[in-house]
Amino acid sequence: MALDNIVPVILSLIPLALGIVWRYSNGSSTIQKSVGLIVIGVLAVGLAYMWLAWGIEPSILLLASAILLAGFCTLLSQENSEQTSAIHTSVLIVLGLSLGVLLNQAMVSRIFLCGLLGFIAISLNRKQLNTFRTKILFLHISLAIIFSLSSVFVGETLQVFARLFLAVTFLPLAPFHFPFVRTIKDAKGALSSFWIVAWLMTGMGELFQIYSSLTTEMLSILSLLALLSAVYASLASLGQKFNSLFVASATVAHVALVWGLLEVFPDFPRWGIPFGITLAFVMGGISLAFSFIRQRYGWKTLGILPGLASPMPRFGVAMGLLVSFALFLPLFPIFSGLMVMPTIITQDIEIAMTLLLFLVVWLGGGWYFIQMLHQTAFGEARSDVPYSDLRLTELIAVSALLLGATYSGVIY
Amino acid sequence: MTIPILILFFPLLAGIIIGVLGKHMPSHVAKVGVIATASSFFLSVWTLYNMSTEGPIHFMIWPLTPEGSSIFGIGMLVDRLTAVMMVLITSVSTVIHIYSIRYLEGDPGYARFFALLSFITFVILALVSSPNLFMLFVCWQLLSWALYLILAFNFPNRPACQNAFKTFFVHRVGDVSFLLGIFLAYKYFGTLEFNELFKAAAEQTQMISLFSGMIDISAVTAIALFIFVGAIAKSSQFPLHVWLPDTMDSPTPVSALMHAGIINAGGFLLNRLAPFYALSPITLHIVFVIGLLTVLLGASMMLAQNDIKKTLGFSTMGQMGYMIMECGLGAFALAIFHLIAHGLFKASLFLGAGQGIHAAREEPKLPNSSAHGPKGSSNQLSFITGLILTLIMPLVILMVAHDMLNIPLQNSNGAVILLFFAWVTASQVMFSLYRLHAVASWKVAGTMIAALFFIGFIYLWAADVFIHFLYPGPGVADGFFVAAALNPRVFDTLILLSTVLILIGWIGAYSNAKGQKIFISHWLNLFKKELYILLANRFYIDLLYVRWSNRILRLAQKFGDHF
Repeated sequence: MALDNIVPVILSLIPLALGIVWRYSNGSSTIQKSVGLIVIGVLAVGLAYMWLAWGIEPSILLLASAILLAGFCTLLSQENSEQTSAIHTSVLIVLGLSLGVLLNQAMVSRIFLCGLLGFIAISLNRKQLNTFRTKILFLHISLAIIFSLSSVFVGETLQVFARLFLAVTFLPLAPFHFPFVRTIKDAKGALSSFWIVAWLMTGMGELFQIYSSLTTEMLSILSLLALLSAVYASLASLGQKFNSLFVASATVAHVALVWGLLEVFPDFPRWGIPFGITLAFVMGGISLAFSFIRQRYGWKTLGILPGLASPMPRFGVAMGLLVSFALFLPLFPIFSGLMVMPTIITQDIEIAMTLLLFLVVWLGGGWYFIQMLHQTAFGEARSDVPYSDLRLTELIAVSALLLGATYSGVIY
Repeated sequence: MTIPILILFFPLLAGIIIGVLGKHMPSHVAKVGVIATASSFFLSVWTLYNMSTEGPIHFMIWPLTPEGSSIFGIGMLVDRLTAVMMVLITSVSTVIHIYSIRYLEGDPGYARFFALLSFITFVILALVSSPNLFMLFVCWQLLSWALYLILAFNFPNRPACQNAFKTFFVHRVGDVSFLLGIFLAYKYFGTLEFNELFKAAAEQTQMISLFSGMIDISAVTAIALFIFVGAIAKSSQFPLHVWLPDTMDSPTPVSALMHAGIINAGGFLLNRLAPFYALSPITLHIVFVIGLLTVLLGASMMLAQNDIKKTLGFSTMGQMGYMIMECGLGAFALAIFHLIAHGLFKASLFLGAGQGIHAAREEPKLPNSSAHGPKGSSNQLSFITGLILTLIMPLVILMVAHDMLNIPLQNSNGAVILLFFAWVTASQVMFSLYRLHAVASWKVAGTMIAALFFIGFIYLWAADVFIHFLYPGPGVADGFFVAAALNPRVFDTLILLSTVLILIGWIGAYSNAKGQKIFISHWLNLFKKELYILLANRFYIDLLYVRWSNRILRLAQKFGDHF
């Protein structure tokens, strides 16, 4: 086996193995955090080596780096509690599995993907196993596992369909959004932030593999689905009471832009991947900021703890910056897409669909992000809460995600 | 090349310094802001002088990639329009900075306020010096967001936050359209650089085919209309005017900055794209109609207000309507003069209003008219003054303008309509003063007439000067007027209709003052009352938007529960 095939497997197995070991051992969470951060550093060096030695595809490198950064931020900011060890373990396992999906090819990549899907199924809250929604959810995950494995053996057309199913699952479009939403909802502590990045990067990786094989008819259907998904998810975000579901629905609403714009803008890696990473970092950042409040006060419902910017100015600034970024997210793919858009005549219907999609995401985002800001940072602070502002590590974690978003969205 | 960059750099630097270090140097916060904006002001004056003698300055700072430079262009275009705007912005900003030193003293958000004020100054300066639509749009967005943040300055106060949100959201509606305009401009003309875009639009006739070729529309018209919606939102034009009157919860310096600077962005945008708009007469007519509607709505709703700051807000809305209407008539340069005059005037009014309110330590209500004396019947003097102002003055101005300033009346009825609306303005001023019983002596009446004559002539003189200064190219300004010329029948009807309305108004006011109800029947009185209720409730437009929002929110809650 060639070195360029072995190194990605080893890089993926390191965190995975460590995560599995931690899962069945009782280690100190402080040591786990330190070791986890070192492992992420090692993986970053490994990625850099792969890039320099074999010239790994820049888009894949970016996606993998995004997962590493998200993992770093989650580990760094996770406060010590009863759940900390489980969160550290999950971060390393998901990190290994998603890196395995992105960095490897063919069968190896699919095995890691099956592992990731399996871990998602295991991680879900089993209290609601008997509901219809949960049954659908497990059916969805089972189908994804089957498609994942079969995509290696079937013909090219079926392979595209199978991978498309996986792509719409990980880059969630309604009605394929249930596993994503449920994973984010059930995630403990700062883990939801990492899950968002891992999900989207995996989805981006899948789309990257198949975007050139998508036919015009498929793109038209995807565009329509994206529009419907954007309307549904935007309305859901607007009416959302719970913070984790708010982030999940806002993410689904914005992901629709990627799918919708595929029809208008060619060269997906040029505009789609930087946007996907920016989106993941911003939503991950908001989720991380929410988790800080959740860890401190057990806060889950939007609107019951307003005015945080006064007693927690660091949190106010962080949330203000994140919302600022989030509000203008739809502009990133539009302007970078314009750069690669041919100035030949495009069908009117495509432009109309793009406009409608943009309109929904833009206005929806403007509404629900500001509403969320008013329900968290702005307003009058409650006097019965012992406030404590963000710690330095938490501030560094959010800042790192913001810097990452700035790099991928503005500079890259 | 360096000096125009410094004009932008100083406020940006001040914003960053105050934002980062403000809490550690509270006593120096204001100094940093004032020094930065004052420096920018002096540099702007120098640039205006230098540019008018040596010609426009155009350079790029950051073309990100060679192939992407046609979109992601960051640079500066300093022509006469930009230089004039820079002087206005920096002068108003400096005054507001100085005013805010005492006004916000002791406020916990003192440093944040100055940081935002400096940042907004930078954003507006960058907006007016943008060399392409991309940079202009980015600054447009930053301005919306910065405006939201400064309107929500007092963020524990929920109504202030809600009104800031309303403003932001309305602007966002306009932004979608603006962005589509940019999208189409790039698609059909392959560039976003102003000069290249104007050239390409003039040389190529591109058509957009809708519904499988059933409807063909000129690409220039479509782009101009879409971009105009952005201007509608930013300059508080009907039907996106609802945000302006509700932004009065913000500190008074913010109101001054908004009414003197930010709200002019729409007028500036139309001026910047004037050569593009001149290629689409139909768009100019639509611009005119929207401006006209806004003038009527703003002026009439202003009459039903009893809050001094809200009155000023509606007055601004009306004035912005005039400004947009002037653009629709092809009088782009005049709109810039109007913008400057109104900006300086309104900033001083707002700063004065804030002081007055603080001095009185009362709610911001208009002074009770009874406090100025008995509410006696209006005397003959009021009506003579009104007659002179509304009937004779515009005619004199019209004749003088024709003979002295050589405004081409035959070729462009736009100029005549403009003068005619000076008449309407005079009527409105007269009506407002009549309402306040201000015309009580010969001295007041004489001063008022003289002042209005003086302003009218200055306005005409300035129009002539500004047209030649901003658009010095031979035939450029005339081309705008010709492109905007209305159909003579429409023009005659407008003049006739407005004259009849003014006359009816005066007869009604006179008969009412004399206690004579000559032909005012019961239903007319009822209509008056209904009209007043309608005006006080702002034609229920706000209510309509609120109802739609509530319906959407109810639907959203259902979706949210099942997501």
